[in-house]
Amino acid sequence: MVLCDLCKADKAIIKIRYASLNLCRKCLFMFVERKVEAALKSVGVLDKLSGKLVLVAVSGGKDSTNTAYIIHRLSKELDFDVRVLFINEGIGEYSRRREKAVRNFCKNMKIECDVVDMRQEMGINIDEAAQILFKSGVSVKPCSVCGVFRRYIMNRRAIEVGADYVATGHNLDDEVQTFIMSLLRGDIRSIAREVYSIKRTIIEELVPRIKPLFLVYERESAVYSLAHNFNVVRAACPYAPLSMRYIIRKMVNDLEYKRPGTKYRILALKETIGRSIRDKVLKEEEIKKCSKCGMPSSREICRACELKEMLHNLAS
Amino acid sequence: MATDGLKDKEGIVIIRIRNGSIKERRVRVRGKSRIRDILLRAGINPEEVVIIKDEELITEDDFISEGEIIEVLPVSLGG
Repeated sequence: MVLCDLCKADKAIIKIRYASLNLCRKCLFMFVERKVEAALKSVGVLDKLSGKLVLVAVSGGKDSTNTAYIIHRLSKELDFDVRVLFINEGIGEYSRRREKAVRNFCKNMKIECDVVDMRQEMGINIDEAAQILFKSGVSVKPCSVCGVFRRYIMNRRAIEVGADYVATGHNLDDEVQTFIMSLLRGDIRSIAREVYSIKRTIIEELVPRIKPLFLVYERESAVYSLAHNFNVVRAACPYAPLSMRYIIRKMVNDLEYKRPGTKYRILALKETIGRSIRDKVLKEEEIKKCSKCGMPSSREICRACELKEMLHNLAS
Repeated sequence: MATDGLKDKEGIVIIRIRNGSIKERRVRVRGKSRIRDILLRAGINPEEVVIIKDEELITEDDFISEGEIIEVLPVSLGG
């Protein structure tokens, strides 16, 4: 049996390789929760939460459920309100199981839960969109549509309920993968936008997004969830293997194993690059209102409306 | 080296991979082995999995003996 390196009393349940630490259940909880506080502090949000409303987007998976749990705990200490948003993307049984898990979680935690149906909001769900995309042979992946639609619904719902922040379950691995995907696409704007979100609160129709788990490794989040025995859906989205993220995840995990701490170093690089380019890159970017839906966008027609129209045209 | 088709558990440990469905890998061992080494021999990156033995979470630094079973869960499942 391996003992916890911090308390030296209990059985370790995880090895944190980049810190050469074996941690027990209790010490892992503390380790993850401190990282969340550090993450919120680093983006200047922790001290501003009192009296505010945080809308946590929960998918029924481990990361967003952990986020809702930790944010709910913090809300008691720091005196702010929490609501949960679940978006049913219409991915068959996968979405139905997730909806059930989120409803149960919110009931147990006594958190108000909004359930939004993607088809009702956007006129199409992801299974329908995927069918159209596969048939037509266009290069857009269902995951791209899902990401854009979810962000759109999150923002719209946050405005409707008067939320001050939208919290998502993105962990450190997600951040690193997104950064590498942006690099591979040569998408400098995305890198700049990632660090700019908090500063953009001045835009009325764009509710700032916070990522409380952005310093937490995916593995730490998985063990945190299992150690809490949260009833989450541990199944991969059927469309996930189609995404670029899938390939990058494997590559980064191989590097992390060979050189522990690689993910942290990539995250630090992302922040450094993002901060040094954001003013120059985003100064040129004018935020307008989408001519179709009125939501904020850097283009004449926002990406969500553009995709909606594209899917409609491909289907007809 | 991962081996398949062994009839009993003598001289091997079994790794059950819970990835939606359950797949099994069998690794030949002699006596006690560190779990990390067993995973690597089965082609599994310890960074990508959570390890469970007898329904309890354990670390890659723990040991396993021949005839024993561990379960691994990909960490990316359902993020």
